[in-house]
This record gives sequence, structure tokens and C-alpha cells, in this order.
Amino acid sequence: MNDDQTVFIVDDDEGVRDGLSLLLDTVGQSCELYEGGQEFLDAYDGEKRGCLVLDIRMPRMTGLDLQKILLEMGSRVPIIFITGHGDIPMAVEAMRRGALDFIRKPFREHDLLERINEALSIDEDAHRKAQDRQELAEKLTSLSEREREVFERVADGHMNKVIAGELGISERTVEVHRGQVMKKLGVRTLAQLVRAKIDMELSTEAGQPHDGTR
Amino acid sequence: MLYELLAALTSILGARRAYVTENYDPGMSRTVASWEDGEPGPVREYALSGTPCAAVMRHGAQVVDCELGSRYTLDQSSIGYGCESFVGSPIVNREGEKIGQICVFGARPLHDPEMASALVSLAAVRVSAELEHRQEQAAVARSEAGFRAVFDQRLHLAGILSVEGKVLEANQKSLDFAGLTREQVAGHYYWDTPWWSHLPEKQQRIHDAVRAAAAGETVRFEVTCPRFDGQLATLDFSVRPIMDKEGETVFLVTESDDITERKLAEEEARQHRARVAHVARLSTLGEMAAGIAHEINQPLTAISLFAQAARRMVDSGNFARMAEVCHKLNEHALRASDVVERMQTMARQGESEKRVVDCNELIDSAVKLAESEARIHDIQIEFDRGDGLSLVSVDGVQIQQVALNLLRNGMEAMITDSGVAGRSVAIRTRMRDGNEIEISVSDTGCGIPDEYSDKLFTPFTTTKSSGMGMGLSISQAIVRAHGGGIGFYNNDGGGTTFWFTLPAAAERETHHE
Repeated sequence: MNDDQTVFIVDDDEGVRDGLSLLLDTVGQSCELYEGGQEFLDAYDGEKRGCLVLDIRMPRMTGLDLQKILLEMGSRVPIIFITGHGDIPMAVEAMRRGALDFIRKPFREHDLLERINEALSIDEDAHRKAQDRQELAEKLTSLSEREREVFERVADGHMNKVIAGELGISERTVEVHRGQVMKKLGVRTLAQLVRAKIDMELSTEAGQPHDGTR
Repeated sequence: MLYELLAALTSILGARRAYVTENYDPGMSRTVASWEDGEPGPVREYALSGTPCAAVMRHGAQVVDCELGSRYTLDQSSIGYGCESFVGSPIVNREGEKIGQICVFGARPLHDPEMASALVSLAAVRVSAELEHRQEQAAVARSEAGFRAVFDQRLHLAGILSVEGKVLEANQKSLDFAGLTREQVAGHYYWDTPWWSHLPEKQQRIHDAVRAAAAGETVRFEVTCPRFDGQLATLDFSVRPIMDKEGETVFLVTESDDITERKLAEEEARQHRARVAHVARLSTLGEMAAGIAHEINQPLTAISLFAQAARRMVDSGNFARMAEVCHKLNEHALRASDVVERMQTMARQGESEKRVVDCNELIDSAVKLAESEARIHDIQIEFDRGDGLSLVSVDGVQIQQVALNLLRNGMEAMITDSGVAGRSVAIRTRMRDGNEIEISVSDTGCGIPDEYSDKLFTPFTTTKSSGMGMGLSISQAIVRAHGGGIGFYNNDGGGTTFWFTLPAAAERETHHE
């Protein structure tokens, strides 16, 4: 399990919290315990990485309520719901809203740990992608106006000659800009350049990097 | 006596007939004693009108010395038939009323009317005393007969004892009860009569009661006693003193009601109520099954997690926290068993005994049961424990049932309401008027519509889509059987408060720490 990832446990039952933390402790997974949704939100730091193990039934703020608030905040922390008997309709609703999975009490440690691992790797993945996007975005900002125009056209598959015509510059100048772009973006092949363009478009399409829509 | 007097009068006055008469209806008279032609005559009843007797009643003593028949031509009676003379004098009682007369009829004219009149008047005074004496005796006899009739026909088994405790009188009902004759009891000490003599353990109690009554006390208690057919009857027995004007005890009166039937009916009603309450508890538990399952599943989940963690610790040879884990395993196992215990208590059949308990403890248990359901519906139960509550003597399970019913009603009122967060039901215990404890449950739900408020406590009334509508009627039956009251009011700020009261346990029943 991951050192810099935390399993956030939100359950109103102290025994369940206690047992979960002890079990995670034996596999070397760090966790934080909260007895209610509000307590979690008060301590919540969007930068922290990990996953949420969330009791679906709690007084005051239910698991579903907390999920909704997190979505509205743009958090994409993976959520595993803890459900009891007769909570299936709520679990279905939670899944419909994008929960990763739900596990029924009492848990089999295999299922539990597997789900948590899965959630953490999804979080890891998302984190890495976000990081990549972040880096790309930074690299893109280092491009000059002209370099950006050349980058977009090259990535769209236009020939140097056509680009030179469109921009009213020489083919040779296009080639220089193109070399500069590849250097600045840290790519070596045309294929990688195309990929960077797609990633860029994906992150702009998505608007905010964390918006919670699916 | 009257005959001798009449015989003497006729002989002295040389008369044929003499009568002592009494008036029995207005205008009607009859002979009390009659002497005719030397021997007692028949009883004659006659209308006064037209007779010389009427004149006596109107004007006092009368003398007709001759030719009686021609003077009283309207006389339809045969009282002086064929006689020549008449002497009559009214008989006057102590109050001065003319109650009858003495009259003498002669076959010949009177020699000396004045002497005759004086003689008859004298006789009238003597007869007056005699008649009055007879009337008093008759009145006493009538009153005695009346007393006997009333005494014997009483619904109670009744008896009259002397101050020493000897039976003077026993009514027929009391004799029939044990199949006795008056002779078997009259003159015997009450506790030695066959009513009690074969119940040595009761004899002493009866003896003590009679002695206490003789000392001026009224004693009353329930006692079982075999009837004539050998069946055991329950009597509501009492003995009390009857005092004269000076306050001296002159008699003792025993009264017993055969309350066997009533006791049986009460017992049957009690058992019936217990059965209905039990069925209702079971159905409540059924409705609460989801919550209870959740409540048990929580500690089971914890136990399962601790056990799995423990296995991993063992596998990795790390025993440092093993003691702590074992402790927690036990703790949560006990927690699960508490839930089961509470449920079992509610599921228990029949009545538990009445015990003197702290009301707060009872309510606490009911609150914990209700919480399993509250959690599912995201409702908080706030228990406001009153301080310095008197103890109560109750069937704990039944009182918890009432509290649970009211808590669940309160919750359901809010579930049907819109799903607002932060809903809560408040239950509080308080002393009321120093001698009873009030338990009230307030919700912030939709309130009770007016059209339901009258019949809320009648069986099968429900404002809910589920449930039988038995909860409140059973709660009412339980509370009343405990000598308390139950009711509700709609809160000013919305929602409803249901309350019930329990009488504080009597001081001698409470145990002080």
C-alpha cells in the first residue's frame, strides 16, 4: 500500500472505525478516522490523496449527503460505501452518483483490502494524470504565440508547407518553430506531439480540472 | 282481658252485646273483641255511617236509653240489630286521637243511663291502654319481621355479634354460603363457628379483627374461605362496631361480599391484557427488525474486523496489541448480546412481576431499543433525565413497551413528514405534584389532526399506513392498570407531546440506599 495515500474512514460506529483502523494498520496502510460527515469535511484537505471508506447510514449527515457535497466541491476522491442489511436502494443510488463500490458489513478482509487497493490505485492514476496535465499545461504556457500556432497545426496533421502558407511565413521558419515546440514540450516524435495536443484538449474540454461530471 | 271486661259490662248493665272496635279505614270500623249473648262473638266489620258509633266518633260518649231502632233508621250494619239501648265511649290514644270505641247494646231500655255511661267511659280508658300496648307489640313484631326480611335478603353475608364476639344473628345468605343452620352459629364465638373453625390460620386473623372492632375500629380485608360445595371463594370481609348514643360499642356487624366472580373476571382481564400486550410487543419487534439487525450487525462487524486483524498480527508474529484486541473482541460481543437481551426482554411472554425500580433506568432501556430504529431514519432521541425521581412499582417490560410505543409514534410522525435533517424526539422524566412521575415524549412532526384526537386511544385507530392501531390503546390499558394516566397535546411550535404518569411507589416499598 501507498505511503503518501490515506484511507479516510467515516463511520458513526466507534467499534467499526476502531476495527477498520486496526486491520489497515496490520497491512501498513495509514488512515484517518471521522465519526461523521461534518467532522470529515471540517478536516478535509483536497490536496491529500487517498480514498474514502464511508458509512452510508449515519445520523445528521448520511453517506449519500457527504458524497453529494464532495461532488459539488469538485472532489474526485474515490468512495467505497459501507452498507448494512437493507441498504441496497441507497447503495444503488450511491453507485449511480459515481461511487467506486460498496461493501456489506461485516466485511471479508480480502474484499475490503482489495477494494481499498483498487480505490487507491485509481486515486494514484488520477493523481498522475492530473500531474501530467499540470506539467503539460505549464509547458504549453512556455510556448510563444507563433510556436503555439505551429504546434496546433502540426498536431492536427497539417504539412509544413500548408502551415507556412496559412501563417504567411517560410517553410523553414515553420521547421524551426516546430523543433522549438518539441523541445519545450519534451517530445521526440510527432506521435507524442499529437498526444500532447489531445491531452490538452481533454483538460480544456473538461474545463476545471476537478469538476465531478462524468 | 278484653273479653273479661266486655263480659262484666254486659252482666252489670244487663246488656246483650258489647264490642271493642277500632277504625281501620276512614269511615270503616271493625271489632277487636266482641261479646254477644254470653259468649265471644265473631269479628264484625262495618261502615260507621248511620250507626250510633258514628256519633261517638264525632261527638264523644253517647247514651241512647230506649228505642234505638227508631232513632238510627239508616243503620245498615248488624251491629246493634234488634236492640233497644246503646252506650258508647271513644277510645282515645296518648296523642288524643279517637282510634276506636267501646259500645254496649241492651235488649231493654236502660234504668240508669248516667251510671251506664260512666261505667263504659271508665272501661274505655282501660281498653285504650290495652289497645295501645297491643299496637306497640304489633309494631315491634312488624319491625322485626321487616328487619329479618331485609337482613336475610341482603346481598352481603351479614352477621351481628355481641361485643365479646358471640354470634347474635346471621343472615340466611351467610348460612347458605357455608351450608349451615342458625343453630350451628348462634351463641358461638364468631371465630369458632363452622365458617372459620376448620381454617386455623384464618381463625386468628378473624379473632384479631373482631377484637379490633370491639375496640372501635373498622377492619376490612380479603380472605379466602370454602363454600358449602367445597369451592374456594374470595370474600371481601369487614367487621365494624355499632355504637349507641353515648358512643359505647353495643354490637359488631360483620359483612362479607363474595367477590370470587369479580376476582376471576379481573384476573381474566389482566391475563387478557398481558396477552394482548405481548402480541403487540412481538409485532413491534417485528416492525423494528431492520433496526435491530443493524444494531447487532455493528458489533459483529467490529468483532470480525478485530479478529481478522488479530490473525494478521499472529501471522506476522506481532503480539504487542493482542491483549487490547482480545479486550475489544469481548467488549463488542457483549454489546451485541445487550441488544439481544433487550429484545428478548420485550419478547418475553406474560407479565413480569411488579418491581420497585428507577424510572430513568427503564426509560433508558426503551430509548436504546428505539435508537436502533432512529438511526435508520436519521432521527436523534434526546433523553432528558429528571433528577430526584421517586421510585415506581411497575411491570418494567410493560412500561418500556409504553415508552417504546410513544417513541416510535413520535419518530413515525416525523418520517411521514418531509425528510428534514436534524430531526429529534425528546423524551423526559419529571416529578409531578410530588406523588407521581410523568414521562413525556415530544416530536416535531405533523401533529395530531383534530378528527383523530377523540378516538386516538381506541383500538384499531391509526393515522399511519402501516400498523394495527393497537399501540396507544395497549399503552393506555397498561398505564391504567398501573394506576396512572395517559394523554397528549399538540405543541405550540408544531408536533405532539404524549405523556403518561406513574404513581410513586409507596414509601415503605421503596428501598433507600
